[in-house]
Amino acid sequence: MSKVIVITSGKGGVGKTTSTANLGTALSLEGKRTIVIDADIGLRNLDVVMGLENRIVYDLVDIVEERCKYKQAMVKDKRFENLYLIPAAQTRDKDSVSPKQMKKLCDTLREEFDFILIDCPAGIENGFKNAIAGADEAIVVTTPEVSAVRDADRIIGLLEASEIHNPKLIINRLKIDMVQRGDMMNIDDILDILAIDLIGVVPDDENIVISTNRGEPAVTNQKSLAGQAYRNIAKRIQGEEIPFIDLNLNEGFVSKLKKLIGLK
Amino acid sequence: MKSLKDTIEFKGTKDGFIIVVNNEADFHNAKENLIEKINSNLFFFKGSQFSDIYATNLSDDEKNKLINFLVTKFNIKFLKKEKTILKDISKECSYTNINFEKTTKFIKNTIRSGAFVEYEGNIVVLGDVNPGAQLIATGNIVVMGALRGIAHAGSKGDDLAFVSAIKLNPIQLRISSVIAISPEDENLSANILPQIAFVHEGHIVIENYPTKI
Repeated sequence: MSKVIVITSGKGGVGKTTSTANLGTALSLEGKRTIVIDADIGLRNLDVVMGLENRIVYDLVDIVEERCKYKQAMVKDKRFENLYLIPAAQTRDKDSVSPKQMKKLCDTLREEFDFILIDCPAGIENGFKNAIAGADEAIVVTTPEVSAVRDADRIIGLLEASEIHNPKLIINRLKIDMVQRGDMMNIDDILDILAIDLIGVVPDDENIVISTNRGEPAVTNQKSLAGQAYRNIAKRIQGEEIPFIDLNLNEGFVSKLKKLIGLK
Repeated sequence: MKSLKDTIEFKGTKDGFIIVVNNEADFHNAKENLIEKINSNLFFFKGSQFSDIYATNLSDDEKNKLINFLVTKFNIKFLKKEKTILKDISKECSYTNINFEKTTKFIKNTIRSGAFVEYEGNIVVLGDVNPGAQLIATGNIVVMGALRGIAHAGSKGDDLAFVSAIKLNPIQLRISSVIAISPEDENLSANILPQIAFVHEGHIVIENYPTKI
């Protein structure tokens, strides 16, 4: 049974594209046939983050406007057997695709893939509506900032209105030391407001910046804490139970961080 | 018998103070206590306005004596309201004179950012109201959860409307034409008691709920 999952946030810059690239890669590493779709038409990034920019011939708009077969637009990842990308068009805008067309494409892809991840654009306008049109499930990404949480809340409301229930939450770029000092919103504060299930916490990690710029998702780096967090989320997406660790344990920073993302 | 200090209570309304005399007190007791209370806060009561006196134990004649005494001795204005809304004095508190008669909309889920609920009547939310959400009711608003967004009760000018929540922590509260914002320096997350907000002398007042009823 294949799943179409939209990765969304409302606010820009919280890590939707990075999360999509890493989760897609992690799922393909687990042997799942995975395709990631960049729905951010006009501002495409997913191909860059995945290091596939130079292989693009056709894009999402070419598919819906029937200038190519959908298989022609699928870019196969150079490193991972089971991973494909459908890039967004860079020269068009969000109105080039309709929700109906997106739904049709997602349904077509279901036959070939276990997981279809859609990288949603920021905002709540047409781009968002297109991205969620074909989705069964949603993952909402937020950072521990009031503005990002506010936007996530709005997005959850809109998802519910579109009959996408029980979205899962990724808290991205958490700085454990800042939370401990009380300078950053903690996980409980965020969950108290958003009241949805947490599927993962990704610690702030310099490796993400490095890997994003190189076009190599962090999940491939075994030393990256964020990469480990994404690998765990990918397992949770597949239904595996990986426990969350109580942050209030009285212990050192490093071991807490490791527990948080599941290294212990 | 209650102690002397409890013999007299002052209740604020928009028309002025209401004097509530404990129903066990006699005229002498009441007068003595009234003088003591006003004297202890002379600055506050000077030139203030009173609207009514409640005292089941005192005759109308005795009440009038008290009123005359206050007016002459303390230079207090006394405006007798034509109709008394409060019937049961022992249960009187600032938000009992509310309008219970409107129809009510019940909402059973979390109201999230961007949502906007407007209703001609009362609104009851069985869930949280998150920051960025807005509730507008011509009547009262009750939130059986955390109120973190904006609530506007009595939106068509009902000063008797109230807003009540298990966790009253709104960005902004409006009742009738009065607007209040949460104090910035207060640690609101420490507040875990249910609270009720209502208009008192042109300001929004928040009390723990229930008060001594």
